[in-house]
Amino acid sequence: MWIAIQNAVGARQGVGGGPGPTPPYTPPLDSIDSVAAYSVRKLRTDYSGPCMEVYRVSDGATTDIGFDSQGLLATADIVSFASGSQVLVSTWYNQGTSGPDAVALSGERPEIYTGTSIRVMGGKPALYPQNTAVGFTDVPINISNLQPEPWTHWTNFSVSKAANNFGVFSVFVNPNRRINLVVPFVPTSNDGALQGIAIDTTGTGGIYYQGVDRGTFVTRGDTLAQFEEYQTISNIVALATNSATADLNDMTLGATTYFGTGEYSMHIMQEVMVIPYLSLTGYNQALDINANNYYQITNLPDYTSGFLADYSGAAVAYSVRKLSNTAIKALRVRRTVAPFDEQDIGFTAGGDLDEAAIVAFGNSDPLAVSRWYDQSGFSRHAAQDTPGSQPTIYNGTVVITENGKPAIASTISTSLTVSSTISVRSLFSAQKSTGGFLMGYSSGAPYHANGSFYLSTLFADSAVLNGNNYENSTLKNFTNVTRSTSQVVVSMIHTGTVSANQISQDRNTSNSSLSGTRQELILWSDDQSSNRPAIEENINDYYKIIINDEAATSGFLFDYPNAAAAYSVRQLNNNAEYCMQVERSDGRTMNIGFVAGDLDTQAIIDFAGANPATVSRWYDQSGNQNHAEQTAQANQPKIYNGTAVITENGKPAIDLLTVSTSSPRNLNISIPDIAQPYTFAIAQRMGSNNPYQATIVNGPNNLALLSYGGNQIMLSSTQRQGTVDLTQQRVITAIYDSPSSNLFVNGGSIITNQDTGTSSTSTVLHIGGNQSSHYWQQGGTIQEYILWSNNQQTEGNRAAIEQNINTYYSIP
Amino acid sequence: MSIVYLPVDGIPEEMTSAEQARAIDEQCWNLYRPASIQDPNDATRQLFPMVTRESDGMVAIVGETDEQVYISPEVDLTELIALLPNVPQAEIDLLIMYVDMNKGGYVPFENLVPSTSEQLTEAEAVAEGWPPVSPEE
Repeated sequence: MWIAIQNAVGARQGVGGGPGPTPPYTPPLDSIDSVAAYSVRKLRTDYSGPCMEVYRVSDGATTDIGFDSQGLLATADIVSFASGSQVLVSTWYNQGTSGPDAVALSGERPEIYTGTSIRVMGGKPALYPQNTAVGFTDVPINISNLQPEPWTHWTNFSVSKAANNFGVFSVFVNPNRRINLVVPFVPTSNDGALQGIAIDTTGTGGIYYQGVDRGTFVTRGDTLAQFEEYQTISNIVALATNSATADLNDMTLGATTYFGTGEYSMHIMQEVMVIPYLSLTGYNQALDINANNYYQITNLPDYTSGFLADYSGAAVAYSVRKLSNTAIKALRVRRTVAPFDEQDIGFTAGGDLDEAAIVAFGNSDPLAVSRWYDQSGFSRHAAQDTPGSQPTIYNGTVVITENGKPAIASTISTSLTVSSTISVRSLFSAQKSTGGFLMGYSSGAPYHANGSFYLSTLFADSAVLNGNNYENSTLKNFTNVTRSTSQVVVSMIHTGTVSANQISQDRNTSNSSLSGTRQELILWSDDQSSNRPAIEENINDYYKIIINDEAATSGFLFDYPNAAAAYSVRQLNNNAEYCMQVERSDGRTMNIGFVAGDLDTQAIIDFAGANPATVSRWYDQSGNQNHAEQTAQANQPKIYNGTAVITENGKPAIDLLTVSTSSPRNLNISIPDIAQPYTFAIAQRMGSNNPYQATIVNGPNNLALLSYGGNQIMLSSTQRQGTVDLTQQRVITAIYDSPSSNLFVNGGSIITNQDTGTSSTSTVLHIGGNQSSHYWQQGGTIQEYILWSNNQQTEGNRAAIEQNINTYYSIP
Repeated sequence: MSIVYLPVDGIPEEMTSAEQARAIDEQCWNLYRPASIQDPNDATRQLFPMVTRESDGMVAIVGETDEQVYISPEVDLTELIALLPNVPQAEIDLLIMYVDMNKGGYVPFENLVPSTSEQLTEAEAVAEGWPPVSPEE
């Protein structure tokens, strides 16, 4: 075996001479000595040599390749040199302060250029093995160079990825027998921790995989499959007790390493270093961070701030927001049309998903999610390797959102598989679903759902069934209470741990995953009951799932209490944060709040720009969470015409447009029945192009506040009275309290003491009318809609309420 | 649309059923995105879902007969063909020609299935012990 030995690092001249430009990152070896250091980037500011010598396959010519102005391998020079030929790496020059270059044997050279493209990993150049016999064999590391103490104290650091099952990236060997053969990052079978392997050593030391202490060397595990999955940063700290130090003089990089009969390793490599011992029990965190910042590899542990620092110990954490200060990756997306390429997506400086990067990558192509990165620091990423089963994030036009935040859209047949099985005791999920399992397990059914119920009494695990299960912080029986189809926070504290490893297909069956959208999923292996309210509040603060849940302590609704639901373009409750959710024509939504008690119209203008905006939600300010919603954009009323916020008499108004059979406009309220007495106070203007207009339609009970022919008003279908022009802005007070129901318009009595029957309100109310019928639509505009579960006439408040509304809106 | 199960026998003394099925499936994905242009960090590796028969560990690839399969202009069939040792050479030659003619376009999945491959409907597969791909309940 031919071995080239070059120790005269300092004697080699750089390409073009001199150290070249200073790279826009901190070279990691500016402050750390090394005996061997190979990389596709410049590792020392003072290093003046080239990066590698490359070999052109077509004619056997070689040349040195240096670094570009960014300190990265000068790939343009390789492409130029290649002239269309495949290019291999013949020598990987040592950038360390001592030690040899890594020279590949003829026939074992890694590939850097395919003939058409530079080999890359994570967007950076990479040395790519072509087969099991390609790499840098027997690089003559001189152990005596390892300081401050010989060989027993050293750290072997790499940025690499296994290209087959066997992950040897570096070994020291005795020429006559193989000892201290180290295979790092082998997964254990139960917790997914990636651990190291040493053969013929009883040494102690630390294996660190992306910053996580994986303990001392262990014997080989049963499976190495996971080892192939990820580009990794690794620190192996020391081998301490082998007495045959004199034999340990060769290192192998990348491949051609014997590991038992017929087993060889291949590694895609970007950086390999042997550096002096820093700490036997610690690891070189600075190198981890430096490499991670440069190569953008993973979400490191050791976070000091953010959600995961506040609520520590998460087993896995998936989110569309940044959960810790060390998290750099959120998702990997795949283009669903040719060339079907993938890209990692990180976060904005503010900690949101980098939606601009998604749009820039996808352009007009839809994007699926191939990997959801774990932010816990354990690198338990969730991936789907089959394109047809990947959830989606981008439809080719807009990023999919819920309530203004990005959301991963899943169907019953999509699923992501977690890289290791998790023991789950506590689960928190921000989601919106119509069915499917909350989590899945390839060997069981702990979260088996039952139609619209979250859990099946027959199949779900007893630890899950018997735990405390919450929807929007409300304790519920998940086996007999229909799940909300709105965006919710689901919290589950099990009575014991259950195993899970899929999001969220179960066992071997497909078509069982969560059907809807998910924005966050965080699991703990311990009981988070004491943190549950705070965790829910944190999730809710970000996703704004629970909006306006506090009762008024001052303001209109404090002065006139017991409102069951209250919608307005002004702030009625001093604790109400949001007024409405508006939607742009591209489907993006945003919550709009208040400024000094008025609707924040500037926020609407800023969000919508030159495009019209409609109202997808009108938020209930009563504190009862009975928000009015219209999910179909074609049926949403308008608030902004692309130029100005729509107004009535100078105040913002929700425009129900003209009555239309093709696109009727309304907002629907799901609300528990309210028995009489109850009172409606409404500021509105009805449309004029239909003989019947309805502001309230109470469904099957047929209670309705209607305009008939534009100038008559009715409390029910049989109570038509008065001559009032409702096509003008009016405040209407309807009090249902049979047999003495009353109706007032602008403070004047129109219907007095009528029997309207004893019906309660319906469970669905329609602001703007019932869209199913051409005749039951309001049209016009609406500015305020309040429902009290009492008789505000007998409470003595009616006149004051009307006056208050009249004063604010200056109703003629 | 018709779901089809393609049981994979394995190659005696070389590959188990699971190993061969995964290797074939990976090569099916390579039709879309050949290894030469893949990033090692790509998560997508296989084109079709696979199911395992619990009784003997035999694996079947599950596809849809009318699914349109993309053929990359950079496609290389060398490894896929090596995984199909029982397919007659004449059929291999036709496959190579067919794929070559359709580079940059789509072809129906059923046109890529070798004549030597056993094909089962979902009902037949379930009857033979493979799990269904329809809902459990």
